[in-house]
Amino acid sequence: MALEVILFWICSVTSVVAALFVILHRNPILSALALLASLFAVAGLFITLQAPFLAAIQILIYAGAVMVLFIFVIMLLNLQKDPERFAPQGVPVTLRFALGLWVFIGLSIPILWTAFTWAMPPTPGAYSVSHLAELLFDQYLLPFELTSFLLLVAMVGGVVLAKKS
Amino acid sequence: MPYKKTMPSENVLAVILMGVFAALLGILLLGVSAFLGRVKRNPEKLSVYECGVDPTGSARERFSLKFYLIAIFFLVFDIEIIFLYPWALIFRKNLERGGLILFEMMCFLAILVVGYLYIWKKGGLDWK
Amino acid sequence: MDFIDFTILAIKIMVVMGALLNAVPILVWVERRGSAFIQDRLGPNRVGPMGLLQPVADVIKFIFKEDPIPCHVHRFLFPIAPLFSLIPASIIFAAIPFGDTLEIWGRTITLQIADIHIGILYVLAVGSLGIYGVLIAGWSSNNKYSILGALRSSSQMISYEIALGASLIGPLLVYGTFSLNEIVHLQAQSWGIFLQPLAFLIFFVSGFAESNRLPFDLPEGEAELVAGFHTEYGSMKFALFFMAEYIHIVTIAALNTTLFWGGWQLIPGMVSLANVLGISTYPHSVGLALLKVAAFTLKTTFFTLIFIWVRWTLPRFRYDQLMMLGWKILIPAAFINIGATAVLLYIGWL
Repeated sequence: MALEVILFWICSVTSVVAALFVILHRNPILSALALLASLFAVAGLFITLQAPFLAAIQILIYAGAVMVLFIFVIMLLNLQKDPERFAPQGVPVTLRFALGLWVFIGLSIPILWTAFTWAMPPTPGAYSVSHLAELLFDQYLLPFELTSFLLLVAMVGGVVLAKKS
Repeated sequence: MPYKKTMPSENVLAVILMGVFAALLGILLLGVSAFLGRVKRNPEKLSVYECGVDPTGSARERFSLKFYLIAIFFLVFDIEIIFLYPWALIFRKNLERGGLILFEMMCFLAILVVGYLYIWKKGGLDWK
Repeated sequence: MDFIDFTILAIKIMVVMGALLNAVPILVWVERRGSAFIQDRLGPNRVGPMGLLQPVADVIKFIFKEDPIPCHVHRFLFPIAPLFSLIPASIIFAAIPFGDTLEIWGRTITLQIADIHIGILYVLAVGSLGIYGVLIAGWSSNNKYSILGALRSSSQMISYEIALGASLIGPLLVYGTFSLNEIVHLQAQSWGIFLQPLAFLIFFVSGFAESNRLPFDLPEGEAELVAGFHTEYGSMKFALFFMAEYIHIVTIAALNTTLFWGGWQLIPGMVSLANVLGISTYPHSVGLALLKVAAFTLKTTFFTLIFIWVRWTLPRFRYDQLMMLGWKILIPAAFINIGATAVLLYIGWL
């Protein structure tokens, strides 16, 4: 049990620190790598919650695919250290700050009010991969089939975007 | 034996230890080499390697959109394959309860095959 | 988990990592001598008998060679990029069973570092991280050859990763488990290759592309890109990339063995050997366990040698041919394999 607790603290601190690094660092590639570290830490959190399948998907999809796409885009667009480009011009600092604070509070309130249920399975192994698969191909069949349309749209969108330019 | 279905902490520990071992080994080797390697620097040695000529322009050029398109398709297909894994896992067990699960996945795949053929037709898979 | 369990785990990690690391110089020697044999040359034959000590000389050279960090590279990422290649390549092996369970002094020892029940997904997930070593090295080198090499290499790796991932669905349909240990147990009667020959072929070819070996070594096609993503690397940093590549080859060979060739299941002739030695009576005896480890090692060595053999006999693909093979041949083939396997299981022929 002690290992899980240690792992939890390492992962949660890493994910928060890395996420801060993402938004504070000026080099886009280093930001992307920090995001990678943050995603890894979240995968670690899934492992402490005894959801290794989720952890594997987190690494396979987010770390192995989404982040590769991000880094490709950064390399393709040749983004240099250029923080000004992202800052909206002509908006006063106080207004930006107030807007940020408002979003933060708006997000915090529902999080604080939610009564979270215990995320650990009631008995070890209660939420196994086959359990998840049974749910996916029975109860949640419609969303699953609709996912294929989403993926189709993504494919078509990719082709259209590439052909345009 | 339900407990076997979870990720026991021994396995997590084992993977972490293995990773730490590999990392320490790499750092040790790099350290030894940096410490013992001879040092004799000159500006030529520290400049960009470009087959002996002085480098022209920056290496940070913009690159073909092709790479980006490949990455997008990879992402889509990767997500698609992830759905196949839980399906394949319970496929055999579900066959005994009728073969509905086969047709569920065939519908899913049929739609994606349409997308695949569209990409192919539009030349998204050609490298030119 | 008590102290003895921990010690056993530590010993297992030491043995596996030791074996992987020692495989590297041996493979380098085999590769150099083998390539010389194939090309009708002599190869390294001066250091030690038959040049056997050549790898030792190489290691000494790697350590004592000057290790400059050029001015134009990224100060932080350039030196640590080799680690991003080495670590994923090594830890994949944690999920691969290299032997059956062993009973010694009343303790049951699984000859596998971590019996991860989502083994196949673990292998794919960790394998997908190998791309970062290449990307970070290429980007941080700030050199045209490096960046082009890194982009080509990573595009190639992600393209073949789909075929690789899809080829494993077929075996998964047949075995119905993610655990590599259980998969090996299920191959006691007949090896996976007889049930999933097409999946093996796709996995085998994609494995070459994943480890960036010839005929898929375009990222470092010497004639075009000098040394690809590691153009700016020298001395020990280069050696780490080199080690990662060879460890990757051994790992993929071990995965081929585990998924399709029965893993540590005895090779046919070995059964009679076990009978002659009189160690086949008790399934978890030390003798039989060692014989199974030997079977696993032999099979893995065989596939590793095929990697080397192929490198020196096949010419290199052109980049468009490589992408075509991945996207237009291997991926459809993998999906046909999935469909065929599912239908065969449905009508009860498999």
